[in-house]
Amino acid sequence: MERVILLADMNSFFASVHQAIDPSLRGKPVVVSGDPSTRHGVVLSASYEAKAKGVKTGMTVREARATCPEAIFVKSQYHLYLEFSSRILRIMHNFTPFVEPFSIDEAFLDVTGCQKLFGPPITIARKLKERIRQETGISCSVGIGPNKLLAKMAAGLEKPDGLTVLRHEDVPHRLWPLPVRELFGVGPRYEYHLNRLNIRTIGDLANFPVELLKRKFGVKGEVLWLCANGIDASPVDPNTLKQTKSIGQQITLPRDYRNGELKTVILELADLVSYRARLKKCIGKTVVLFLKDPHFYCLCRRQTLPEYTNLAADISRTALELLKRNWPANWSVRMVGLALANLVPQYADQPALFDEKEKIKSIEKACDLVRNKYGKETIFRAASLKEGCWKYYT
Amino acid sequence: MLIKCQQSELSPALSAVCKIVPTRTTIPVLKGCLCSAEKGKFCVEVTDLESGLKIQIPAETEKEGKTVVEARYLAELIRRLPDTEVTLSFDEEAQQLVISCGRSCYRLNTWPVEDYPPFSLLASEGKYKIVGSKFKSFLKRLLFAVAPQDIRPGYSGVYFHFKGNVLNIVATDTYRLALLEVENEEFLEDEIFVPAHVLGEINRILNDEDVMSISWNNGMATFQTPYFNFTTRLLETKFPNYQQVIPLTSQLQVKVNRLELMAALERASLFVSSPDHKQSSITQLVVDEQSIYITAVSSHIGSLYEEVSLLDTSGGKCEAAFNTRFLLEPLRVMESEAIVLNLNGADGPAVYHEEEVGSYFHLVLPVRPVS
Repeated sequence: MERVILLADMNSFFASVHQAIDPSLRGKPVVVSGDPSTRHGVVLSASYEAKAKGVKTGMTVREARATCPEAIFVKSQYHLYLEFSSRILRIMHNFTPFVEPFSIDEAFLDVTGCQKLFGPPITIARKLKERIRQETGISCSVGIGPNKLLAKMAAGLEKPDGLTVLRHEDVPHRLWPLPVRELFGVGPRYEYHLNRLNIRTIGDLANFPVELLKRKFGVKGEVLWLCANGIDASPVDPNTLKQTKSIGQQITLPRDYRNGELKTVILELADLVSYRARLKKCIGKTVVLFLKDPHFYCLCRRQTLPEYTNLAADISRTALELLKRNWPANWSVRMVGLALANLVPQYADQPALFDEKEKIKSIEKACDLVRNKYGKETIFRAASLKEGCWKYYT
Repeated sequence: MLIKCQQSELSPALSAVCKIVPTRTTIPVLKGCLCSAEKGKFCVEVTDLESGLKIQIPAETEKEGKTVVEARYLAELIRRLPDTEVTLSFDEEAQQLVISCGRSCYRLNTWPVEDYPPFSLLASEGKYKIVGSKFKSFLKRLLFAVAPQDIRPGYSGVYFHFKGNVLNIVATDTYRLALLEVENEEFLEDEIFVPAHVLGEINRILNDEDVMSISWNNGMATFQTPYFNFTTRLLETKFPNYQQVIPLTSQLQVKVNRLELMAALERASLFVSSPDHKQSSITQLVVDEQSIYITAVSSHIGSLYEEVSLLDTSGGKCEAAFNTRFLLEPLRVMESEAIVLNLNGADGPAVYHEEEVGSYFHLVLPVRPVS
């Protein structure tokens, strides 16, 4: 039996959430952004009314204001979006247990087996849209396809509030005329390399000799070719979010920092990352440091440790070594990211006979207890009292 | 230089020195080995500047002399020769080492002898002497408990603690600790911390019947037998106070058949060996008046339950979880039929000791389940 996969994509999710909880914002151009005073002033989401006026995601607040002077600017409130996201997932779970959250505002649903309960796929999609709108006030676009890829492509074809079906036989006339960049999995880099092969549309890619793609791009070349032909066998996996692969935290700094000042920022990020790893009962083996300079030059370096850890002391020490080895001391930094990767669940903790780590473990454990009870920001290092530390940019 | 010796004697000596030759070095000559022909013997010597090994084998020396050749090529070449007489000579004109065997002849390029860094060998008066087989039996009980060098360099050695009439030999990776108490007939008062990889090499090349003398001085130690002379830098880190972690009393003391417990744990290790379980190789022990009950659970494989009956008990009950490997490894190296296991609850260390020998202790810290 052919599978029936749905992809539900919330329209202008962050902006819609604000419109849903504040009726005075409905029907008005709403722009959700970070705080421009700390250089987080980028448009994260814009309502369709604002998009109609030309506001785009990723614009700076200043550009957005120039494009649409009457727009209402709202500061992002992440906990609200998470709350709405989990409410929407709960509604989806009323239709099928096979729900795979794909991002905060998108999820795949495998409804192959639920057609006796809820009717044909289009009816299911209508019911789903209706319930989400009634219960949360948010509209969404739904794509229906025989696999995840086509469902995802279908949802992108009609926005906002769309409902599109994409069958295998629709691929040549609906997908192939689109520019290759529109294909799921093709970013600016692949677009550039594919254009050099004179592949401009998805159809060009689908009809390109797969052998040549394999030789040039390896396995990914074949995967892209299959995608362009609408072939995708990946299952809807409800557990993708349960297996965390890495835990990371990043921050755009309020001004450009030099190497010396970065130390405290890295310590703070390490505290947050290790706290989250311990909450998830995970231990990781690889520390990833990500840096961006004022000219948006990016550097990402990773170091694998000899032993698994979730201690801030280990993470920050490794990150500082990476910084020292890979980033000149007089070079400014605009953004820092730190992640613990190569994660596995921690079943047990092996205490040591002579190690100072035992002390660190108990300190970090005690800090966790304080954080759990009174909030993440109630306990911090003395180093964070200095100017330029988290108190100044959060 | 011109010598004749047997391939069967030359090959093991060269393979042994190759283990010391650094694989990556900025000083190319360190890849070489210093070959010297002395009266009645042939010596081969290597160093990585941290340690130096010199091995001598009997040879028919017609002309004395020295040269340096790349150790790996010499060893590999000699290893591939048949077991016959091999002639080594130095061609002064071409500056090459000429190896002839039967009707074949090989030439290896050499380095000037002066370029080879001298590695000082200590004066050979031994402070402590021991028979090879005995030393090897010590190492067998200790080496596995040492921390790998890349993980905890500070614990990657074996600690020799001479005190009064006892010599305590200790190895730990901080999760477990192996302690061997032997007699110290010389009444030395001293301590040395020897890198484990050096002892591993000694374990390989030491002959059972040879007497080895150990001397040390200024952070260096030399292990000497008629066959080899191994000099190494000692570890400079301070060995922790191991005596304070050994519990003097125990909550529960039981006696079990070693092989029975070992077999059960070998089976348990199967249930905790799946790759995703790397970190959770946990075996749960529950002990009551009759038996040790062993459980191991893997969400991917299944579960195991075993009972090992006690030979003797001090009475009482106890429960603790351990890393299976840490429980199993000491059982593999112990020899007595019955062993004593002291348990100290879910947080206190468990201590094995051998019933008959009595001088070998192995301490293992339990793991704390993450709730």
